[in-house]
Amino acid sequence: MSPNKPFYTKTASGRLVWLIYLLCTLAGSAAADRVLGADAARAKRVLIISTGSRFSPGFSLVDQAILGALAKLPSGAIESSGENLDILGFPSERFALIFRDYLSEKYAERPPDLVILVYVGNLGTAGKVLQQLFPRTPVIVAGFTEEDIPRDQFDRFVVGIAQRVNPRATIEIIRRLQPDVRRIVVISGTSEVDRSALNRVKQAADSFGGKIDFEYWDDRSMTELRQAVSTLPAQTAVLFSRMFRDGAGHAVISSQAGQSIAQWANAPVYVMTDTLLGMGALGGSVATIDGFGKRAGELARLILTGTAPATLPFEIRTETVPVFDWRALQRWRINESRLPTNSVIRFRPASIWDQYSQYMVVALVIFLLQAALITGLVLNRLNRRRAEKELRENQELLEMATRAGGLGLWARDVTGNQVWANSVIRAQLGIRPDESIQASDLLARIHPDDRAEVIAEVARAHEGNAYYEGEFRIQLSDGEQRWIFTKGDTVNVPTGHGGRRMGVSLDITERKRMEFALRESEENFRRLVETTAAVIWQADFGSWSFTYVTPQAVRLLGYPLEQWYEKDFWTSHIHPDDREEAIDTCLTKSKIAQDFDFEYRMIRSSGEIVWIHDIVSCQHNGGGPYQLRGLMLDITERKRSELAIRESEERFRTVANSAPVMIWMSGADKLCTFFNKGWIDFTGRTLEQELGNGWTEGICPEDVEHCLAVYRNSFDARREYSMEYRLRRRDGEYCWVLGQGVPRFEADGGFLGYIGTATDLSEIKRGDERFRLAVEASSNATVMVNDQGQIVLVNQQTETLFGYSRKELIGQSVELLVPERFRANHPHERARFVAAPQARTLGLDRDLCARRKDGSEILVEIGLTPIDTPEGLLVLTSIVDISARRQAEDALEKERAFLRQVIDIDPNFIFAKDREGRFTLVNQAIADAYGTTVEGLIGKTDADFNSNRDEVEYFHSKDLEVIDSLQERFIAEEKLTDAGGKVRWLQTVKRPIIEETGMANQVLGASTDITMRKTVEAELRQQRDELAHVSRVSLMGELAASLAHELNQPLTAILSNAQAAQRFITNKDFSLDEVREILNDIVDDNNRASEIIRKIRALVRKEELTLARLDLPAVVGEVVSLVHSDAILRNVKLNYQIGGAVAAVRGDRIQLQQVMLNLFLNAFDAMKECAIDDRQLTIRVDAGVGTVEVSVCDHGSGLTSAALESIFNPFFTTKREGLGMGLSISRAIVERHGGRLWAENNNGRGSTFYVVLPEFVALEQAPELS
Amino acid sequence: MMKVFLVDDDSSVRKALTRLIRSAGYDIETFASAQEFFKSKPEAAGVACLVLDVRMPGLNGLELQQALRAANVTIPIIFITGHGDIPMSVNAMKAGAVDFLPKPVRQEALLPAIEQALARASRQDAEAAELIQIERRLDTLTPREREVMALVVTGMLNKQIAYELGTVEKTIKVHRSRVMEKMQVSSFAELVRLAEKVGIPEQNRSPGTSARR
Repeated sequence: MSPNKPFYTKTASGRLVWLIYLLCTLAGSAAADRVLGADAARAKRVLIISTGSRFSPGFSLVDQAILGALAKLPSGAIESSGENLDILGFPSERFALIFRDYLSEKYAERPPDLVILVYVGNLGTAGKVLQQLFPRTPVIVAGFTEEDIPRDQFDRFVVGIAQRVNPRATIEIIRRLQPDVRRIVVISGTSEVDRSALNRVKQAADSFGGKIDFEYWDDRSMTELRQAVSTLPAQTAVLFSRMFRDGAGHAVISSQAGQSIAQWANAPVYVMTDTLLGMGALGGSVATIDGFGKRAGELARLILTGTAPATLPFEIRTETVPVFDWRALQRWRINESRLPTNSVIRFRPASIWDQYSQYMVVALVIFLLQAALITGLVLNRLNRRRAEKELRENQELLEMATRAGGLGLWARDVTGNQVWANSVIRAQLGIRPDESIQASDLLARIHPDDRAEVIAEVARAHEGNAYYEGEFRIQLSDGEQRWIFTKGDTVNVPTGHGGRRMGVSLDITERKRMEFALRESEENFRRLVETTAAVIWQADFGSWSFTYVTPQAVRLLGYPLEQWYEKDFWTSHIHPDDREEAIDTCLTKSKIAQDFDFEYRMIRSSGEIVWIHDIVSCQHNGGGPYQLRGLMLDITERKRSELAIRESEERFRTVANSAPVMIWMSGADKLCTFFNKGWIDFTGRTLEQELGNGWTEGICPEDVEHCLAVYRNSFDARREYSMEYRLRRRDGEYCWVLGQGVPRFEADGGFLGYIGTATDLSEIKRGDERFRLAVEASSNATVMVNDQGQIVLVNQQTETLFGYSRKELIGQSVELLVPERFRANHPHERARFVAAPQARTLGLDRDLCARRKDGSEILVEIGLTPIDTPEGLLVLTSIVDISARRQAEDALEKERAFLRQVIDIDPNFIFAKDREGRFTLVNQAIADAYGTTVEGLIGKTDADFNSNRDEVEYFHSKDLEVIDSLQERFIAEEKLTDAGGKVRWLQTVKRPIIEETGMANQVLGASTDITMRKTVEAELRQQRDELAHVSRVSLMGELAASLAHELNQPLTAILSNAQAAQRFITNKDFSLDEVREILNDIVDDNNRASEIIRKIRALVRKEELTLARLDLPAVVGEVVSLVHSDAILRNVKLNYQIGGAVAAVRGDRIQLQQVMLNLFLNAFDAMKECAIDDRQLTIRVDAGVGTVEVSVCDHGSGLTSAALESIFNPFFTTKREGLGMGLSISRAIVERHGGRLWAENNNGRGSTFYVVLPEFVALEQAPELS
Repeated sequence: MMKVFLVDDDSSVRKALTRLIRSAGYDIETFASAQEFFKSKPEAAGVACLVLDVRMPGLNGLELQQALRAANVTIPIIFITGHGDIPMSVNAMKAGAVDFLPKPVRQEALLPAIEQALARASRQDAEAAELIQIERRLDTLTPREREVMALVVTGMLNKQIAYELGTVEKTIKVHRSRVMEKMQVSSFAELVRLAEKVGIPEQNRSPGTSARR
């Protein structure tokens, strides 16, 4: 970095701002012109709805990309608004509805022209909500991480786009970047969208056919994951799929979860969407949000510019791009050369040119301009130039000096992170000259062992502004370590940041190496000298003869010292087998001027072999080696023990190979190092095939997972294990073997690995298999438990019943299947059983519960069968789920109770009785009536509760009649005296309960209490009568004037006759005949008056309906005579005609007369407005067919067609003073008589009312009058 | 012998009332309907009254009363009714009925009413006879005497009359005495009574004289 940089940057940025302002002004005015000239229509409204959280970066990226694409819309402005549904975090339906209402309210005034729904996974409720919200608005659904949307979920206004992840491409990237990877841990969440993504990963993983182990961690909480990912074994990679809900059920933001995992993991984390990049993940073949968002925006643009949504295809974007985080690549030391060629690397620190190129160009231009303008100042600047030149020269000198001296120079602002370093340091650290350096970059390169110390030292120096000095190692990317010495001090420079620390550094690797070497050789020497057995020697290179040996040489080989100095002593005493090699080694090594050591055997004088470790230092003169110095060590003992070990191993191998069982061994790395002959013979594979993890290929695929899990888990725990699995025999058949393994330790406790055996269980298994099949075939859940309470065998039914898989159960304590609240006591009970084993069944006398995997409980019956085996007592436990049976029983009981409730709630009497009249079934209603309880009534008879003997006898006789006749009987009315002495009217149906014999011994009855109905009916009738009466009285009221007149006529005659007679007698001037005549007249008139009064009284009397055989002409005639006087008053001419002989009718005289009276008076009223001569009323009684017909024909104004019917409605009246009830009541009366009353308009004028009544018939056939 | 007419549609009522009224010494003639009675020229019956039922088929009692008045038959009427009301009786009384009696009618009410009605009938009869005489006497007057009489009965002095008629007092005196003579009265008061009966002052009063009264 140039020291002048800040100056130029400042100037440049100022100018740049100005320039940008100018350009913007120009561009802005042009844009404004365009807008003004364009369509002045209102802005298009775009609503972007996200289903995710506002804080989910993916969603905001999509939003930005969409808005960016929309901004390119050629004409018209865009008004965009956004909503976040956040259904992943808040999945409640109710919330969705409220949100919908909220949106519809919010956008009621300004409905959007286009809705873009950005979602993850599936639409969920958002789709529904949207359809209801903006039904006619085009919608773009944009799923940026998935999957399958049924197209038919939308109508033609909707267009869609979805992004699909590509796990396969990412897995391939993992293999490319980490060729040694053996295991990929796939992390996923539990939400639906998480699962769908995981399924894609699983599909992709399948295509890698076992070359890599995939582990799916999709049910772990974040806490568990934190622990798990930080302790991953080597050769592991993590593929973070997606997580919107963790295993604990907490909603999380996927990108945040990904970030956390990337930070915790001790292995690289790969991802499939670019939202997860930049927060620690290494990278992957990712679907880019930006491209996707842009495409969604383009779709929006198309629709807004008039493209019909239906014409746009539903797009699934599957293209992914390899993208990596440069920082993560550095962290995991992954060389960029490994990356695919089209890879995008993000977050690479920008070079100075990258960062500042614009500034620099502008600065240059401005600088040139300035230069041109200030030529006048050139002279003035010359002096400064000179000074600058000197400075530059000084700098160059310094640079040269430091480079020559390998001296690094560095500087760093106290507060800043940027570090300036000279070319020496850059070279040392492998940093390009144009690369900027962060303090953290430097720290990252420091050897981990030294890093903490350096940081502490720097911090200390920083705090005290102190002088700093230190030595540390740096770790270069090629793995080389270098020692650096650095010195630094803080100087105050006017940067405004308080100070700058500057320093020098020196590569002291060589010095350090020498120091170490020296220290090492000193150490060796000391040890050698102190070792008495060591022989120090000096020899001439050319002659191979010793020139000096220390006296220990005698003890070494048993030869006197003199012999050592003989020519070829050394070569001749080397063991013949080693001679050639030893000499050759010595010769060649010496020639390349190296210190070396080697081992060989020599022959002692006694003939024994002595192992020698010879350490040689070769001394050279100008031409080549001339002298050797060395040290001989007797390593015979060591060699012997080594041999012993080898022999014992050999022996072991021999034994192992001859053993009938299969034996294997593995090292501390879990990889198998040995398989015996038995194994090889069994599997028919070569040793090479089996070594390492090769042996797993022979394991039955169904068992391999379990087998490896047991092996690994036991291995990690250094625990013995025993398991059964199927291994492929050479003939291809999978045989059950018992695999057992124990850890091997060195004498000092160091872990060596495992040794294990595998025993062919085929034969044993066959027996077992039969047993197992038998158990398996059992329709009951069968669990075999050993005397420790461990489950050793379960069948399919058990898995089904309890929801556990076999694997989860085997080896577990049987208490797993016992509800928690009984667990504590269960071992005790088990022990009791084991103490006195005896086959028995549990759960018959009490409810026994078992616990399923999901925690639910089931009712069970358990059969226990003890089996004595060599391994101890096994208990075969047969578990029968009686929940269903119990449920059925409960349901039946419930139904029975329900039915009981139904019959008890029924206010009608329901009962069954036997021949003796004893109740066998009763409901609450009867019990209540008899003042007892249901239970109290059963077995008793009516006589026990009913004091009315007649009733009881009647009941019993009917009961027997039904039982004997086998016929159902309907008893319309019968009486029952209840406990309170009240008489109840019952309507009863009795039906025989016919038994299988075809006979009946019981009667089933149901009685409806019709007391109330009868009362109501009576009341109704009374009310009807009252109404009729009121109506009648009111009719009579209308007649009052004429009736009074009618009555006064005979009274007048009587009075006058009587007074005349008095006068005659008083005057004594009379004849007896005359008086007699008067008296006769008085009697006649009195009769006449009485008759009138009788008629009136009859009509106004309140009487119950009395049905009688009636002569209708007479009945009508009486009414005619009653209204006679009124007709006179109204100037109506009455004409009463009887059309020959008519049949009698059955009815109530008064009520029928009331009808007539009503009709007559109505007719009078109808003719009120007529001329007096027209006022004629013709009343006829005629015989009909089985009927008698009365017609009342007036000459009034007639009725409108509407009135013809409505006059019979209550409260309809054409009269000012009428009640409107007359005709309604009349019709009701006629209809109760089985007749009809209607009106017709005459051909001429007026209308005719007809009353047709059925002829009188004998009572038996008469229908009931109601 | 004074005569009572009875109109009632009810035969037994007719029969009984006939007995009662005859027992009181009146001559009685009955009719079953109003029309029958109207056709019987009752005005020729001399002093008579009518006992009339209100409610009858055809022409009823009140209608008959009006018809009689229209025909200037001034026979006094006693209404009897089986069921009368106040408006009906008021109308009947206003139209000159003597009484309005409810049925059954007692002799204590009926007979005095008949008596009263007959008295009125005979008074009416006498008055009618006197008027005829007065009219006959008036017919004997000359037009000039009539004029003089008309002014005399107003209470004017001879002098004034003379002035009024444009003659001399003496002439008026002569006319006056001649009027007294022809009208067969001996006093001025008697002349005034006669004149009132025939309504002379009203008929012949001149505008000038009225102003002076």
